[in-house]
Amino acid sequence: MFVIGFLPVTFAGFLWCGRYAGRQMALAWLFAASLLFYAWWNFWLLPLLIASILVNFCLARRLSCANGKAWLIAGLAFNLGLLAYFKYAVFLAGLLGRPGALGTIILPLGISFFTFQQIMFLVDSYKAGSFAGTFLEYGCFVGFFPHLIAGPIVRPRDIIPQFQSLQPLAAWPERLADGAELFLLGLAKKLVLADSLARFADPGFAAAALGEPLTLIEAWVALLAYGLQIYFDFSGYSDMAIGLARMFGINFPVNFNSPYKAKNISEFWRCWNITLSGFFRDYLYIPLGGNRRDEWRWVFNLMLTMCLAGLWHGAALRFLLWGGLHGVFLVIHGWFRRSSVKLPPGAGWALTLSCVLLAWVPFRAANFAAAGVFYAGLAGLHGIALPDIFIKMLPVLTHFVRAVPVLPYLGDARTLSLPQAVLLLALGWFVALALPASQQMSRQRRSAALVASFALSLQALFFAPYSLPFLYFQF
Amino acid sequence: MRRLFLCCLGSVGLYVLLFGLLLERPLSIGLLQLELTQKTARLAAMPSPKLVILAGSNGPYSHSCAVLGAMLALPCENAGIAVGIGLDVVFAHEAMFLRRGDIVYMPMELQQYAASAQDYSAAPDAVLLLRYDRSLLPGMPARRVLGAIFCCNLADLLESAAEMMMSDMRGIKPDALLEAEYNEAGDRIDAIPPGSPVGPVRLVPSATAIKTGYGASLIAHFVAAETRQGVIVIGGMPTDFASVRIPAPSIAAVAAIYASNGGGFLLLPTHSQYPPDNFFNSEDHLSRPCQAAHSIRLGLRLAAILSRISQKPDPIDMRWAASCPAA
Repeated sequence: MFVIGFLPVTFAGFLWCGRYAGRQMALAWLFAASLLFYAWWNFWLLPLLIASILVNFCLARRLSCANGKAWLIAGLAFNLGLLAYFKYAVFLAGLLGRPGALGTIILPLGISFFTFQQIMFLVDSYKAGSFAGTFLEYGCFVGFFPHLIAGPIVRPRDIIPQFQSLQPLAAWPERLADGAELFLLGLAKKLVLADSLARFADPGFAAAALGEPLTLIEAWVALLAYGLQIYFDFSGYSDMAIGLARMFGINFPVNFNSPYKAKNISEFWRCWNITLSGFFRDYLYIPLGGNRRDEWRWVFNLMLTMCLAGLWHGAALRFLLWGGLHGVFLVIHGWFRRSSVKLPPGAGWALTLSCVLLAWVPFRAANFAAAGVFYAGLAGLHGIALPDIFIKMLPVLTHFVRAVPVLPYLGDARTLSLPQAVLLLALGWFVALALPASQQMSRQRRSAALVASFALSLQALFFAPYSLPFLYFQF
Repeated sequence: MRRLFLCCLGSVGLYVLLFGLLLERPLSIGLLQLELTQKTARLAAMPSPKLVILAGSNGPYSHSCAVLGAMLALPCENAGIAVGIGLDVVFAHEAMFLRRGDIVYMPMELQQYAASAQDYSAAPDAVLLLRYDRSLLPGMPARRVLGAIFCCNLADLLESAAEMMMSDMRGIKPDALLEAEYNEAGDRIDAIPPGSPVGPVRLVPSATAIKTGYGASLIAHFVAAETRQGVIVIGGMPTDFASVRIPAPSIAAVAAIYASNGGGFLLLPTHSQYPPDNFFNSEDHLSRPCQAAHSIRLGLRLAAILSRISQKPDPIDMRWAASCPAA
């Protein structure tokens, strides 16, 4: 519906407004289309988005007053309060021993993103002393549909001027082709790679949630598949968002830059969800003092930032643990960097990738118990098993591998699931490690990627019996 | 824009070339195709009147043509293959070999009736259509044709690579694989207990879903066309766990599809439902002893309906049936 209905109509309307009614009308069209896009998911939460945009716009107007700081604090309290209520109230009630006290609270789609977007805006506007834009420009900055529900979190100073100087008709055929290409590559990452990988990630984690004993191969296949799934899912979404924005003449910043190629954990965070990392760095870690104070304050600042970044992904202790683990990795890396010991680049990369992958376990597992079961599988505590057909092919394996008819938690639990998983993981890791990020690809390479993937995307979009939602929609 | 368009077009061309002409899946799709070819060839060579069992995998697993054929003194072909193969494909292959006086027994799985047109456009047999049965495509609805052209995803591509590699490495012969699984009447003979653990029980389609399903319309059309040319078509219930409650309106809806198109309907006192230990690896698949027991019950009823004198089953089949836990 989005691809063959909403997008063409919105784009055509945008051009029509730009040609016959002017820039303001084109912006109004874009804003209205974005609200419709949001309402499509749940009409009854649209007023929340509109109220949030209106309140923040009004607050921004007050920031240049004498008591601007008080208005800023009020704005931050409003935004964080909204997020706290919708995202964390049930979780906190549970922690306080009153689960169910608040009933069910629907998490509005994209609230984590549009709240942070507006916090950035208030802080930046306060620092700049004023905001001179119109409501439409502000509304488009927050509500522009490509980034409304799953980012990237864009900086006001980068985006609002683009809406202010937007020329709807300028080089639109080139813009459309360029944006559509990136959109299609992102779509392929999601539909072709991420969704295929989910078939190997999900059964392993589902088995762990049930306390089933995962064997070594099942656990590693599930983890390697999930590491790729979340990368292709979210970087695919980011590419789609950047491509969509480009069609409308807006340039979003790069959000993923081959993070699994990182040689250390700091580099990983400079390449993974770059806009979110940037938000936490510039609006939390640095205001807390960053590394400018003593050693323990630096450790505290880093751990607090990463724990909150973890909690941002979801109201659960396992997300806190995930953030905490990354905090610990960053602290250790900071200490290591100051020591005289140097790791060879290959070893640094392998260590970083191992840490990142192992930290995905609590992030993806249903709970701590499931994460424990999963780690036991990864450590081989439940043994190593292989379908007997492969043991017959390599009889030497009988000495240390248990023969089973099929591996029950690997893909579709068929004999051929294992070779299929090996091939899929090899392809996925080749794309993640050996190819450049989609926005750094040469034109020829993009064309080749499109030839390789477009028909498979088409198949997944229109002819697959089911589709999986984007992982980051739940955050 | 031109480059983008050409890339997309090239991608579709490459896709059709790969999945339509180059890639094979000798151990799964190829095996199904071979099974279909073998069963169709046997059907073509069989004299009339003959008995034909048409269903998904419930046919060959839970029904024995060897038993039924012997009891009714008719040549019999168990023509069912798998529920994933669309009925339009099955009927197109089988119908041309049915003659006046032939008897078709159809214990179709209930989901076959409820399958929607959309299910058919993303059906697992699409790859079979594109790779081996392209001649059937011109007579099919546009959505089904498009579904066949866009039959495959990345997993299929990788599976092709894995199957082609394994088939080459191990020198697997598809004919030999089928020979170990089926007898000459097309019955599955390798479902020897103990089977694999049985998966979760699926939902029974409602009477409305059965009545309005696209699959039901295909079946109705087939029954009407065949009865018009003198073939005796008898519907039946597929095997299922005794614990599954199949609502009476759902059974009535199935019966009505046959009755209103000139066919008959046979409902065993057991409703073809048995305890889980009678099954091999799913609710459609009885183990071999219970396949024999179920077929003997069915043979007696079919003989009565067809006014034929029922013969005694083969002693070997009697022994198989005696070892079925419910028998």
